[in-house]
Amino acid sequence: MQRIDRRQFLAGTLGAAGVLVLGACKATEDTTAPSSGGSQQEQPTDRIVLRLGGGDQGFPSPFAYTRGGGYIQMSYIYDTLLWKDSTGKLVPWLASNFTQSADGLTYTFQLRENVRWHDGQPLTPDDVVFSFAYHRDQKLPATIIAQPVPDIAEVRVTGPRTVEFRLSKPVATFLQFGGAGAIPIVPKHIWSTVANAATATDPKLLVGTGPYRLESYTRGEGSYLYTANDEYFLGRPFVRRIENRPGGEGPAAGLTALTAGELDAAGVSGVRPEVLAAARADSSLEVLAEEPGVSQVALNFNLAKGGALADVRFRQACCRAIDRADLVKRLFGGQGTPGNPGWIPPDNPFHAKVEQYPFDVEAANKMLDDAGYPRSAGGGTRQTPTGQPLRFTLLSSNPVPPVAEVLVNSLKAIGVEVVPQGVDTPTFNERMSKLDVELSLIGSGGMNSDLAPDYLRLVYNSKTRLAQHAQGYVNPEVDDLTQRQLATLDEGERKKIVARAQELIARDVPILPLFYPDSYTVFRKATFDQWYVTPGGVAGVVPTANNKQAFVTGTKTGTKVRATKG
Amino acid sequence: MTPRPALVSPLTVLGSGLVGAVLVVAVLAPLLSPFDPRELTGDALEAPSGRHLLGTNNIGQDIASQLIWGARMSLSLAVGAAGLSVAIGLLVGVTAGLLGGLLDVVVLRTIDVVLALPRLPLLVLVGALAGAGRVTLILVIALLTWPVIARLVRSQTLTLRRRGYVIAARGFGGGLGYVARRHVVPALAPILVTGFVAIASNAVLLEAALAFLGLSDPTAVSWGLVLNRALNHPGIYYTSAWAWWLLPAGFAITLTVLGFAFLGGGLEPVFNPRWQRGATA
Repeated sequence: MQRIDRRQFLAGTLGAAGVLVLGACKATEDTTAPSSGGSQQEQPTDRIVLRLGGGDQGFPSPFAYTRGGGYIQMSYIYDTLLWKDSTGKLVPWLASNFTQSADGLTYTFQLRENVRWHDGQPLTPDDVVFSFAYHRDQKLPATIIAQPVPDIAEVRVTGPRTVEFRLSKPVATFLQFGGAGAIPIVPKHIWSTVANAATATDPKLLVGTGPYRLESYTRGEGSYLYTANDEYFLGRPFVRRIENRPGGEGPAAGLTALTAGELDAAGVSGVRPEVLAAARADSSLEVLAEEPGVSQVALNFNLAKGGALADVRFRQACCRAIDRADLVKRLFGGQGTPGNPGWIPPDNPFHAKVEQYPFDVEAANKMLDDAGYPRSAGGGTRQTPTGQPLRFTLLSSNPVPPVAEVLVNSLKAIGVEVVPQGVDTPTFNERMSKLDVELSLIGSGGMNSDLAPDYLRLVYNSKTRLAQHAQGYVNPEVDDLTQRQLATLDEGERKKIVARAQELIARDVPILPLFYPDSYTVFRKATFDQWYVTPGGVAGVVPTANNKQAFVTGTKTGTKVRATKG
Repeated sequence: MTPRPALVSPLTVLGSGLVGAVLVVAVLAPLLSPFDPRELTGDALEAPSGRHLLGTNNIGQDIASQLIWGARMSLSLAVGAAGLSVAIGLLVGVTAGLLGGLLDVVVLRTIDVVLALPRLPLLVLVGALAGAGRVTLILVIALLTWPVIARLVRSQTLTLRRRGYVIAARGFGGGLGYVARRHVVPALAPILVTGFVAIASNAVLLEAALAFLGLSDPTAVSWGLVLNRALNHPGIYYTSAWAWWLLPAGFAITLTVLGFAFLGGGLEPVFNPRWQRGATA
């Protein structure tokens, strides 16, 4: 036997290992065919498969998903009575038509014929009645963003295919996200035996009427696979498969994967122009800009701490010291919009012109001088009338965003010392709920959706407990206005009420919205090109280009499925 | 007898040159730094220019100033941690070596336990729970590294204890304290110096690692924090910004650690106890 020396042995082993690794990589690429039983014969000519990113958004049942991203996934499996397309108008979905009484207290929906659940059972009006009652009885957490309005007094079956809703008072949002436009209809025969829906994560429960079935879900990794339901009531869905792949870290991770050919569409937000430059230059990709106000970062003052934080003149002075237009330029190279102290973003129909606190350091210093916060000659930190230094911690969740450092500098110019503090998300949430905070940076989403005017109530009404709510802020007039707008169906009247509310919250500024970073969806035109931004948000809440109407019909409007070749 | 290695060798010269340079920058930071490192002195992501030698970062702070002040943070931490660690190690090692008995046994076991603990994961834990302030870091690094010194000190003390002049001194009535001060500690100087250098080098890396992981004080100025912010910036590689924001900070850390390593490497053969014993092994 020939003697093998050390070098030859090493080379041989490395070579063999390398071949094995390459072989394994190739093998995984080849196994893309679905292997579950019951899959249809796939016709090669119209095999539209969408690969999207997104990460883990929870188990896609109507009671366990996580926020907006999770809601969209759940909407592949479950339908609502009405749904929106690119016109922003509600299109009949599970309901073929509806009527609304003049006083806005009664709504009657007529269900489509021949709609079946994924297990073959027919959809009945009892399922609708059950769905609304079950949603309310389950007391779902705030991560479930679609919850029925509390003013639904009664839901009952009034015919073989009709359901009637009676409200105790008119609710402006019932058709959109508080009721028909967003609440998924679930099968009574599946969920009536489930005691705790929020923790039920058995895939066998995922029986919906929707255009897609969940084929696999890997928790933690966040990979989902959906295949088309060919018995869908609108017809065979245009997009045959949707794969949600685990994402990388950071706002530009999806874009990197898209340009590398791993995804067919990706969202990107809060980045500078050079990040998008390559995508814009690539003719095979298209960049779709979303409405400004998809997300927002705001500076919150905790009024409950008292002292300067509870003094409106202090807050107003701080607002004048922060140059929000410069923030957009400095942080995003101009790809964003300065925040509005009245909360509702500039392009929204309900936006009212209110105090904007134009940047003026001199004026801000004068305001603090006049308000009784003396400063030692030669600059330095101001003091309260009782001698306490104006020094506050600025809490944010890790990683501490760059805007914190900018704020430190902005407020230093008026003698306010800010100390940024970054904590992990669970600690952040805990401290916020206990109001153990002075200044904080909070991100919010969907500022420009149909939810916009009611968002004011969720944030500024003293009785709400939303994570982003105005801490320690109690204004009875704002409470009254925000309650009344919800019950006002006449849009003109509602706009007047909401405008007055914006005026007050801009004057009191318990929260200063800093900026709305621009959001984009970049997609590969050859794979699928019917992406659009749903005006007012999908289901009236989620600001995204990901709308199942486009996937089902292959068009941007209506419910007619586009013919596919073959 | 084989000749002792020279104190002035290429390694020690290079090492002390590098460390010396960082030391000078750290000490003279207020004079050398063109701007306040936390002030916004320019636009975001400006390329290097006459005004900003290394350009500006994502919010408009001068990178050169951040690196200069970062030297102060890194070195103060390194010197503080190494100094404390050497002090503890010296005290424990000499005491255990001279007194012996049960104390010695206890000390030995403690050294074994602490040496087995993984440093970075433990620091990450402390940083996440107690915050990574400068004092906390110095304490924790010192507490994790003193056993290395203590073990060497103890074994050297045991050897010295049996030397003729030490026994003679004790025979003439010198107490253990006198012997420690007069004979043992001065002979330990070489170990202490090389140990100090090694721990200081380690401390620079540990601080950078923690800041890079986002566990340090966000109001401090350190090299690791520059790295952390640069790598967290979306699209850091989409422009050439990484070349003046990311690279220099990385180089600063690398050169400092390298300097300490060269210094330690150059000093070790000079101070190695085996050379002092003579040709008889």
